[in-house]
This record gives sequence, C-alpha cells and structure tokens, in this order.
Amino acid sequence: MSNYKTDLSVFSKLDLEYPPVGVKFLISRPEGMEQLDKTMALCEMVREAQDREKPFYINKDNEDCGGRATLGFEDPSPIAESGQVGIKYGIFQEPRANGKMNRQSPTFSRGVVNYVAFARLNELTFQPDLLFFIAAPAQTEILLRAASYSTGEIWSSKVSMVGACAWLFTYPFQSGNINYVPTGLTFGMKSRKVYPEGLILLSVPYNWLPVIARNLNQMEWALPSFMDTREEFLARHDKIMGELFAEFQKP
Amino acid sequence: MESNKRDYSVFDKFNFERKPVGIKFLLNRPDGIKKLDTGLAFCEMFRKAQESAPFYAEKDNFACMGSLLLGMKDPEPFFESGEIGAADGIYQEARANRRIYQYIPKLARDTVRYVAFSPADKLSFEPDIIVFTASVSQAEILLRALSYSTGKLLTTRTTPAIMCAWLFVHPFVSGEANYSVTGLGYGMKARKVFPEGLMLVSVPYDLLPALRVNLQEMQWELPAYKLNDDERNNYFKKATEEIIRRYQDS
Repeated sequence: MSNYKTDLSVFSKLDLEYPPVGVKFLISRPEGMEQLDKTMALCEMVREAQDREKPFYINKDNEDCGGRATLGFEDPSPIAESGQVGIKYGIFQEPRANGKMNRQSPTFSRGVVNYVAFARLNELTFQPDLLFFIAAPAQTEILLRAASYSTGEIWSSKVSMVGACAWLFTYPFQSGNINYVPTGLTFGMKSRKVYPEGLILLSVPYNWLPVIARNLNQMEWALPSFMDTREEFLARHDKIMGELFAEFQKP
Repeated sequence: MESNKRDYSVFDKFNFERKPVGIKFLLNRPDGIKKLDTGLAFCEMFRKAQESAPFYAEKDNFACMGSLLLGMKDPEPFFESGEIGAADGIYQEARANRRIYQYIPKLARDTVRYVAFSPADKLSFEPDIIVFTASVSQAEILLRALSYSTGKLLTTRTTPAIMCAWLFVHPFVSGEANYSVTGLGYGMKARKVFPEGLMLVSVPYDLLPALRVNLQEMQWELPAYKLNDDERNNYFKKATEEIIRRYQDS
C-alpha cells in the first residue's frame, strides 16, 4: 500500500466520542499489520477498530455475516438471496420482499477484494478508500455541510433494513457517494448492539475526503444563527436580506 | 374536502411525544377549519399543528421559503442566485447554493393556494402526507413497516437549506417516503423548531395504506432486539440451521 498522503488531521478537531476509522479494500494481503484474531460481522469491525490501537486486516475467515457476500468473498447463497432469512427474523412479510431488497445490494465481484484493512484515523498507515464517522447530529451537520459548502451537494442516503453493510461499505466505494444512516435503524447493527441509538454513521469515500477536509478548514463550524435565539435569528435574517436587497437594487 | 376515510388509530399505539401531522395541498379554501393567525415558516407550521386544532395557511402566512416551494409566488433573484446561503455562511459562494435550486422539488405555480394541517387524531380530511416526529426506535418501526411487504430501501434526500422542500413537497410529488434527523437542516436548527436527534418521517398518501396494514401485522419489537450477545448468537445460529435444513430437505 502507498503511504498516507492526504492531510486528514482536521477531522480530529471534531472531537468525536468514537474515532473515525479508515477502511481499505485490497486484493493482496497488506503488509505491516496483523490479521484480526476473531470473527464478527463487517459492521462490527469499524467498532472493533475504534477500540484497538493498531490497524488490522481481515479476510473471509474473519467475517461471519452478510459481509462475505457484499465483499465478494463468496457467492451469495440461494437461501439468503431468495429472501428466506429476513422472514425467519420477522423483518419481512414474505421472501419476495427480502429478495427484492437483496437484489439491489451492491457487491464486489468475486475475488476482487480479498482483504480489508481497518485503522483509526490517528493510526492510519494507508490512504483510506472510506472514512467512517460515528457522530452526534450536531457533528454530522458540520460534516455534511462541509460536503455541500463548496459544491451544493444534496444530502442523500440509501440503505437496506438488512445487509446495511453493503450500503455502508461497498456502495460508497463503488458510487463515490457519501452515505449515512442513524444508528438504530438497521437490523444487524441494532441486534448486535454495535452503537447506541441516535448517533449517525457516515461513510465517506476517498474522493470526498479532500473536499470535506478543505472546507472544514475554511468554513465556520458553528454558524452564528445556531447560537441565536429564534428572535435573534429572525432579526439577523432580516438584516441580511435587507443588505442583499439593497445590493441587488444598486444600478 | 372529503371526510376522513382512513383509520389511523394504529399510530396511537406509538405514544409519540409529538403528534403525527396530516398535511393537504389545496387549490381551494378548505371548509370547516380556521386560517392560521400568524406568519410562520413551513417547518414551524408543522410544529404548531402538533399541538393545536386543525388550521390552514395561505400565501400571507408563509414567512420563509414555503410559498416559493408551493408555487404561490415566482422565484426571487437574490434567493435563486444563491446569495442568501453564502451570506448565512452555509455555502462558500453563491454558486454552491444556486445549485440546490436546480434540484429542490416545487409545485407548479398557483396550483396550491391553501395548505391544511391537522394532528393525525383530529383529521377531517384525507391527508396528502403524514409527517411523524419520532424517536429512533419508533422510526425504526415505521421505516421497517414501509419495507416489510415491499423490500424497499430506506432512502433520504435533503439539502442543508430549504429542508421543508424535501420533507413536505418531495414525498407528495414523488410518492416516496423521506426522513431526516432534527439538527441537520439550517432553517429548523436556527429557528429551534425541535430538539436535536429526533427523526422526521414523511409518508405520502399512496404509502399510507400499506404502512397501516403492515403495522397491524408485523412484530414491532423483533426478538433479536431483546437478546444479549450469547442469546442472539444462539438465535441466529438456530434460525440459520433451520433454514438450511428445510432447504436441504426440499
């Protein structure tokens, strides 16, 4: 892997309770880090990385949930793809609903990804393909606003009730789109108690990291309007509107 | 307006701290409900409807961007140029703010002159959308109910400014549910409409029948949510074994 290049240090200033985690999808075994010594679901691995000082990598032996299919470690089983599993857990009415959701899930082609590296932001030794943030709504507002600040980007997300890992890992990497979901909405992470409810999990692909980092260095994090009372905000808004209108009317 | 044809009593079982609100977009003045007596932003009207008798609003009631989204007036240059978003510090330059006006959903000019609001338990009209204010665990049930029989993904679309377009207009024109988290959108955050961390889930009329039926049929709290690590692992293992056994026996 190439050495770490982009300066992501501004993200440390967010003072997140859970440190951001970088993820990299690899065809070959990464050097300089150890393999995870246990099995878990893909969604739990970000949480695991937050608790470990050192980066680690996983291969198909470490993943014991739907991540095996979305990462292309193995072909999807007919049982899962037909939608049988979600019925058993009471998530869906019939297999057809679960199957429809499964058919939309993004996956890597078989064998393209054989290893996935994880590291906390301050321990990154590689250029991450994705950077995961677990943030409070107020911190998420700053991150998402930073994405839109210079671009006007819409905030959009898509995720499935089950197999959310496909939308948080594979989809952002393949599409180049930021994705996010409030913790507590998706079945696997809620069942496994990966995070408390009410946080927001953002998955930011590499192409957005320089944009967000640059904008975070430039923009105001706490906008003056957010510190106003409602009445102060309305007065501020009227003042700004008046100034803009006066400028607009200048010959 | 037609009388209430639907039974929304299943929503009462949530015991929402803040009532769901039905909203209807109207060409003609609604009968039997009073006009709002003050000027508010669209998002504030929604908040007010949670704790008041049904009311309707017209152009002179909308104190923010609502009248533009509803097609009650023409766009104004210093809004659509993006100057305001830059002046507010939301965007780096007007050009970034300008882009969102290419995307935000709007209704055709003069096709809506009145908007009716009512708490779901006082509805006297068939709502075009119902907007829920929920905790995350309540929203999980609502959103799962929308997927329960359909397998639809949970999707959201919004912009940092003019979130009302995405919560109120987008579901109506697209037929897609939308959700957001309070504290993310500029206007609602600045106006202190809700505390942070609540889920706003907006459901259009065409998804409401399936939502009601699915809520009546499905389990609200799934077994896996109540189990500790060991119990859950055993539960998952046993369920998987049963599915495989049945598959192999067939």
